[in-house]
Amino acid sequence: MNKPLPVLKGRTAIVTGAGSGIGRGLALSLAAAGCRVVVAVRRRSTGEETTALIGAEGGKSLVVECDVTQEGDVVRAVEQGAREFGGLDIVVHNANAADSAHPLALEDVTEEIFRSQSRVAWDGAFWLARTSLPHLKKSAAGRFILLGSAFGLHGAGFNPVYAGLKGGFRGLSKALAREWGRYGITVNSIQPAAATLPTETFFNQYPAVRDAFMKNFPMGRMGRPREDIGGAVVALCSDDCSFVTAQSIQVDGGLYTAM
Amino acid sequence: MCAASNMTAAPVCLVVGAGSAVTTTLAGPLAANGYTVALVSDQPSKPQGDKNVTPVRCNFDTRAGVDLAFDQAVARCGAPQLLVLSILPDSLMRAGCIDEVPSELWTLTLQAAALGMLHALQASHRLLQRTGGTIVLVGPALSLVGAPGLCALSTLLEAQRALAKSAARQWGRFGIRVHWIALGCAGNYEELNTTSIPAGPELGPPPPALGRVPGNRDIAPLIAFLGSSGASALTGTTLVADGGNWMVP
Repeated sequence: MNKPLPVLKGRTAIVTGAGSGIGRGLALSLAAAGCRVVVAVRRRSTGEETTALIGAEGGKSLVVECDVTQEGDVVRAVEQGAREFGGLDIVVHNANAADSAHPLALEDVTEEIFRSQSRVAWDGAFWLARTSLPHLKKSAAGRFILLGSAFGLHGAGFNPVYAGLKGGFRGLSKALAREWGRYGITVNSIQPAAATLPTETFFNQYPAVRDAFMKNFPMGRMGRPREDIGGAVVALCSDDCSFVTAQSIQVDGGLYTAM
Repeated sequence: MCAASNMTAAPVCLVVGAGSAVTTTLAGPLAANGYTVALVSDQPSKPQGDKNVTPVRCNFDTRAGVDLAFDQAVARCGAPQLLVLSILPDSLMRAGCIDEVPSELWTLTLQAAALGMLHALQASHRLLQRTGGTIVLVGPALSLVGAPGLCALSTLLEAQRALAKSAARQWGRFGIRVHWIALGCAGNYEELNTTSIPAGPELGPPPPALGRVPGNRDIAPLIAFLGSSGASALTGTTLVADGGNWMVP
């Protein structure tokens, strides 16, 4: 892979759920672009794998154990990162509940299922927004990015809670962009379609579903967490996108063409 | 109480609402459009002089509470063909910037409202799964463009809109159609703190393209249309009924 330009050199980012999948890809991509990355994870061991990969490429990162449903954990992660790296410029909320990908009929959703997912997605976003705002105000290039889902746009035939929560991010990002524009902070949401381990596991079980699904991608493939999704996040965080805010951006190889 | 003769003469609509008064004010116009209406609400107040609206009290906190209220509505008015849902806590209408709102508003009120809509959708499915029918969710249009000081409300509205789309995808096979109507704020949501809501994309403060923001008397026929056979090809739609202000998307 060609080494990307250090367009984010000197900036600090925090990425939640950075111990695997898209979150790890984002952390690697941001670090390769010159960012110091706070790897916020529930299990330290997964975070350490990510920081080892970043370190092997000469990047700087810090792993912080953080359950985003807990205000105290989020405060500790943000403040520790800002203290050790001298500020905070970029916040990426990527974490999802472990059960968020389980197929479920809407009529069978229980309060327990809803709350277990909403606390990670929505409470996590809330604690991150409140805690990071003072730091983002001080930054000359504050960025707040929510990882949404195309399901939030078009609904989900099998995953309604996930779709609802990610749909909520569209509303949150637009409202927050209007609130924070006066501070020079941009707020956007990204709807990725990327191949992750759970996706691959599912497709390996149902190869016919994979074949049918892939026909929906004009680009003929799913996205790569680091190169495709991470690349878009780096671009959004760069100075070139300082006037891009309140957007819900599809990074999906053209899968969803309605917007 | 609904007249027994109406149970066979007129189609039945459950107007289901928590918080915002929009559903209360929709009940009368829907009755005027030919429906026998049960107003299922946490604060039911019968529109004065409208004998075709029956109030039923509902606790939206639990699925069982919503099922109970829906069953009471059916017992009094008959099985519905149309359900209109709006779950909008008043406290979310006047929230404040995200760094100022009480934590409880986000962690409790917002999520209870999202759960309330989930319960209402699930109870609607239970009533319609054998007969088919139409579910229409109603909310202010502001979440489509964002409004400062209303992050929690914007989050709730877009989540409800996504839930409606998921319901449309999952329940189409039962003959259940699900829609979202986004209303202009002025005149429809008096409790909403409108001071910070962006007026529109045009230069200056022009009126909407149609000259005014549609009110409930305009919306009721639109809902009735969605519930009619003329709309049988539609589901999962978002109809922006703001008089042609934002014209999104």
